[in-house]
Amino acid sequence: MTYSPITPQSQPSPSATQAQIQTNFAQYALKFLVNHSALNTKNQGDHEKVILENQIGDPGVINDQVTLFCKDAGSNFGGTQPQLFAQIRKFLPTPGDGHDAPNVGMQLTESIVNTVGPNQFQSFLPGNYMLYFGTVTATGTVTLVPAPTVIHVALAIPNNLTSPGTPIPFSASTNITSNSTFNIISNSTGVFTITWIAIATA
Amino acid sequence: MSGPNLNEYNKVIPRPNDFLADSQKDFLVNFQQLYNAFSRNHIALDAASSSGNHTKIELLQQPQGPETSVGEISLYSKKLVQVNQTTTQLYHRYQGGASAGTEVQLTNYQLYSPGALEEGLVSFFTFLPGGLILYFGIINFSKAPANSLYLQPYVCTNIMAYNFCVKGTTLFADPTVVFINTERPPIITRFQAQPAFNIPVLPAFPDVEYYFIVLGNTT
Repeated sequence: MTYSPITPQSQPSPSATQAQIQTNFAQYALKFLVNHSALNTKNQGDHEKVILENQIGDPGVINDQVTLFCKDAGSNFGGTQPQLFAQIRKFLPTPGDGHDAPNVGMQLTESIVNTVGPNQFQSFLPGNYMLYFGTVTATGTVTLVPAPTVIHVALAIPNNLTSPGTPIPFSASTNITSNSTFNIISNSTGVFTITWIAIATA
Repeated sequence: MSGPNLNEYNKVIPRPNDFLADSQKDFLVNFQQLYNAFSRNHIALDAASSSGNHTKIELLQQPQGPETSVGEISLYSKKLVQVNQTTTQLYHRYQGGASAGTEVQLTNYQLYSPGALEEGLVSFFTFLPGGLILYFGIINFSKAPANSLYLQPYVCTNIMAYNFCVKGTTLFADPTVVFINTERPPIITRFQAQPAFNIPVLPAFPDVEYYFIVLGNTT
């Protein structure tokens, strides 16, 4: 027997309705327990976890609030997967920002991070962006793994971790060559470490 | 019997001497209100599957962050008042014990894609926890108005770090830049390249594109 909001009816006798009333109370407690601390416990009403069911679109925000929700989002490496979004109330344009941006949901998560390295790491940024970073020795091609949709920026910063105290005698540039690769060009003549950072759309 | 409003949840029914016929409407209203309220953020109570899970989490703006106990963290929304925005943003509070835990702002501003804003400038932005904003893109100081990298949206009040890197296969000097905070104080509106960044034999503002990242805050 499931929860029924149209109980009790007027015609059946109390004995006939009792079971449904009890079911309603029991079902409410049971469903409430799925994501919340149970009724009649110390922390009743608190959340213990939040399982978000995938939504088709943005839920919309009218009040002063933030709405968190889950929606499919695409990436080059993970296909289409549910991700966490936040939607705030529309407040643009303003005198300081004339962009009439709608309050579309802002993607907060991606499906993968790499904090192990050893020479390439990645995390994610709000807005369906990936942040890749790492080091290379001197020049060469950096291949981002997993491959994003498009690289927006790739910066190479000459460091001198291998020869402390020695001035850095070279400069570096970058040349994005595909959705997942960029070259680092420098005029270094020795073995130097170059730190790089790239931001891409997942 | 019923409370003052027959369509609102009534937690004091049935009364001791009520017959079921007397309380029927009260029960109906209560069960319907429980159902409706629960359904706002959750899979409905009578759904065939996943009942009790969330469809969304609507966090109504709080006047201040809730205190947290040991073993708890909280997510909530709060009004953010800054120079160029008054919005409701998402916050997080660590476990606190007797006093409230440390509060961290998780979201900042409304994300959108500025794209190509000015000639010589392609810009994106996102945010990081703590009220930080991260601008990134491509700038050609020789083509951009006032030889400047405009930090749009104009919400950055403090530059924490920035870096420029030559885009392309030809090596070139990195630019010398200053930031301008006098146009819409205290907002930092732009980085302006200085002629001094160039070596003398080349044009004052060479036709060179740079990738840039700028990290600042908006408080």
